[in-house]
Amino acid sequence: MLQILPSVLTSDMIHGMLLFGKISLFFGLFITPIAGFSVYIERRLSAKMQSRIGCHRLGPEGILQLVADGIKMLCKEDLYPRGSDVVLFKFAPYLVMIGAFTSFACIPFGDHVVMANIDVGIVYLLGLSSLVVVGIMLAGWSSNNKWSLLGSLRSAAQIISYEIPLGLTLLVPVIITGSMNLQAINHFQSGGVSKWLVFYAGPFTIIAFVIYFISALAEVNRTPFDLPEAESELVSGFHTEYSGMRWGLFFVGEYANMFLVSCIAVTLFLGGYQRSMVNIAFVGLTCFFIIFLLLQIFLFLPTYVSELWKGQSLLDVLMKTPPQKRSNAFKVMCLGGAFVLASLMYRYHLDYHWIQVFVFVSKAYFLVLVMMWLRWSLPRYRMDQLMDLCWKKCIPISFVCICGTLIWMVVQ
Amino acid sequence: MKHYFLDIIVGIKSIVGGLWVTLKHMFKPHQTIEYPEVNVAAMLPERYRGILQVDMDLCISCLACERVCPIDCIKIEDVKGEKTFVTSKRTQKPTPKIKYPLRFDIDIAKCMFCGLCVEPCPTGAIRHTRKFEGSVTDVADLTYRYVRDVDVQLAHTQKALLEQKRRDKS
Amino acid sequence: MQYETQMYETQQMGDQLMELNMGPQHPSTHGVLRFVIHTDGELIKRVEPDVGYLHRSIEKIGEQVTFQGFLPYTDRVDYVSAMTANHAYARAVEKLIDCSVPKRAQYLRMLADELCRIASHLIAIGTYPMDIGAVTPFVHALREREKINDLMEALCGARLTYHYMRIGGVGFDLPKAFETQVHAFLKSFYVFLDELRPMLQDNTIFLKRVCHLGAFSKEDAIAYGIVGPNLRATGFDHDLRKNAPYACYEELDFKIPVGMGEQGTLGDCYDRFDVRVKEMRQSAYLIEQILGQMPEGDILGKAPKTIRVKDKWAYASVESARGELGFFVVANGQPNAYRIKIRSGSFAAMSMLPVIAKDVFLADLVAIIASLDLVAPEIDR
Repeated sequence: MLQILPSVLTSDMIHGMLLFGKISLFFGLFITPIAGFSVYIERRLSAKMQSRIGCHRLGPEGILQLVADGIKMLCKEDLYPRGSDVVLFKFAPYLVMIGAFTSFACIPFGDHVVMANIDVGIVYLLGLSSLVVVGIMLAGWSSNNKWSLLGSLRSAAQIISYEIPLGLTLLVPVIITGSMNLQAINHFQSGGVSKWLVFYAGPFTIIAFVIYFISALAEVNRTPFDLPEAESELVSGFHTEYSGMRWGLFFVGEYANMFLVSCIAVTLFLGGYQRSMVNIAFVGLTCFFIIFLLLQIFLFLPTYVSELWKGQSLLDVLMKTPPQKRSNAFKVMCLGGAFVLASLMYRYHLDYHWIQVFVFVSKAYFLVLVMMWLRWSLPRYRMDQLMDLCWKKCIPISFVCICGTLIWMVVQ
Repeated sequence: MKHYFLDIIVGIKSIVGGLWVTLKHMFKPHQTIEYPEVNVAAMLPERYRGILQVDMDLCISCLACERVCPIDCIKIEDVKGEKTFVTSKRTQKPTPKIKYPLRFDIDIAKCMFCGLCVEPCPTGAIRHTRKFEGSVTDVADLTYRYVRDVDVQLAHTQKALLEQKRRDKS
Repeated sequence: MQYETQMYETQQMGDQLMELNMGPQHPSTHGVLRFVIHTDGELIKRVEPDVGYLHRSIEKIGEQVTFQGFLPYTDRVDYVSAMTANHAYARAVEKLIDCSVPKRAQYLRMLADELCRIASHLIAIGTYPMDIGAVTPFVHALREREKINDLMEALCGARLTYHYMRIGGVGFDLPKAFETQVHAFLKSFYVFLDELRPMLQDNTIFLKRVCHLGAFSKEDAIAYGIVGPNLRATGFDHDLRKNAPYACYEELDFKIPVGMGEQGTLGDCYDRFDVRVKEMRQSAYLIEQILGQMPEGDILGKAPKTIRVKDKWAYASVESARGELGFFVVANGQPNAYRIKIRSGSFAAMSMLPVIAKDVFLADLVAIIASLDLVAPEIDR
């Protein structure tokens, strides 16, 4: 096959192009759909918590809403404010996305499913998350808008402050396993729930995990720390002046960042992709949603096909088919089937790499759901209270956790 | 020192309490009425002040509604004709009808659905319906003209009869 | 007083201050209000409210339409709690023409008032956490308000602009099965009120945002003319329903909730929130009493068809959700009024804002505006 390619291409260049293709596919087909799907899940989840239905009209159970939103964002006018620094304005969303997306390179999704098994993976992650700060500050400054400036300054202060407890609590798994390689930390946790790092040093690692989660919330600008994008004060904070796909990039970057910090939390504290009994619960829930969605699509197909046969346009068929309620029995059956499937997967030691990926993503997604749950239940902290929480509470407690873990390790 | 730890513990407890409330709500049924599939107009109470409807068979052109409307969105033109009787819906008694409307326009775009015109109507001709979907594509369509050809013909007939009667008398 | 020192300080600081415009279009100002803010970084040094973006010349329209024709316009003065505005105007005109209102009509008016008070406070305590960041209580509060809207729809036919009261009484009698509907609503409403405690009132983040913020003393409040729950939060139990009872309130048994400063300072934002929640509970209790004691009789007293009164004026006020809502009506023999002046509680509350929003953070300003329960249509009319 290689003979048909022109001779000016060396094998290094071909390797490079293949790698580039693999990475683009990974981001385009895996991370971006997860981030996009998170948007849909957030809308449905927030609606369930508020006694209403979310978006459930466009397509079966409303999953085509993302496609519609994406097309809408692409079709919007590309505005930039008068007096803004256009180069910085256009460059800022890319920085945020790069910071979020490239960090996925070192996260192991399975036994050999990792793009770059870096030996100092944790330092790499911490470094790239600082890129997001630069992006946000550029966005706020270049918008030529005092409110955006305030939002971006707040965000910069917040993210930089919370990187300290983040780094400190990330040290705890490093101390326990003795290595910064994420794959090695994963292998350390093999052998069931009791081997998870979060249960290793008694209360100290549990508190470390909680502090990590709080710092991660602050890193991602989620409530209760979403003062930079506080909707009621600053309209949208640093991304007020962005419209269309530029704002879409910020949006997807935020959800990808959320998924990223959950992936890191699962890798370092909650056992990664290793086989354990608890996986049944997570995998079961994910299977339930997937099975339910697939069944809905399957059951909607006859209506769609018959409407198309009658001569209606595709857009009309998708938009005007009324949603159908499924009975509780149907949902319970789906749930039961999903849990049976998950237990079978556990029982028969199915450790193929794509099932490991599935387990890992389910666990990480559960943490994303917890973040969404927190967003829709809690008010937000004011700036000085946020800083107070970081410097006076999170940092001393993370120091205590490190010392406690060390003492525990020595005593055991 | 104690205050520091108490702060943290009370904080965590209260946050968990709030999260529990939201979690409970996740498993309660939703309260949304899914509008185009559900017939909302049938769910509305009988007193609902929707878009106005005028029954021209009952209207005796007394102009009470036109006078009382605070926005002046009702316009009536009438002619005098031979007296007939209509049975009022309000009192169930025959009410004399001397004037016949040639034009009865209500500008729904201006109407504020206050119900002031419905109250003084002696026969109950003008009333609120339960219709609330009134959007049209042309603003001129928002002036509802209630007089039909039948009523115009009746007006002209009765006017001719009255003139005939006057000529006979003189 | 304090305003002059503010001006002096900002003049001294001069161009170190950043001038921000919390403009008429803003997600958190309740309605169309504009505030010009001078800040030093995040600390606010000066706030100037700018009104007039929602002015619809309602008072001028009152000079063009008849006395009865003006009643639907009073709904629009404060569309969040429209019944109280109707009530105040009807009372003013009834004073003008010395018309007596039958007892059943008085009870129906009280019922409508209390339901409206609950509806208005639901919006106040729904939008307040939303401005602070928690969106879910807003949706829950609006869900309860939808049920009140359904009740009003059954009672008078409209969901927002009721036009329920008439000169001399009310327009409609209670429909069938109204009492069952009201009791069903109250059952779910008590559940909602109980849920507020873990979700908001005990939540440490909410308390940190809200306590010790925007406190003013009783004397300051009286000097600025503040009424309603804002005044009662400072500890002064002034309520028109007890101090100057109208419409048979003296026959009912209820307490006036007053701010107690249990979390934070007396008269701060938490107290205002707390007073509103307690008032809703009292209103629910009042509704149960009204339905239990409803007398039989007419719903409309004798009022002339065309009201012509020569050279007389009348002022009447009711305790609306935001305090004393008063109508001053002057007649000079025409079927239209000569002058109608409306006095609303939000206007005075907004004048208090430059005084209490000094040296607070930008995020706190939003919290203070929301806690004062400013409603733009009432301010601008």
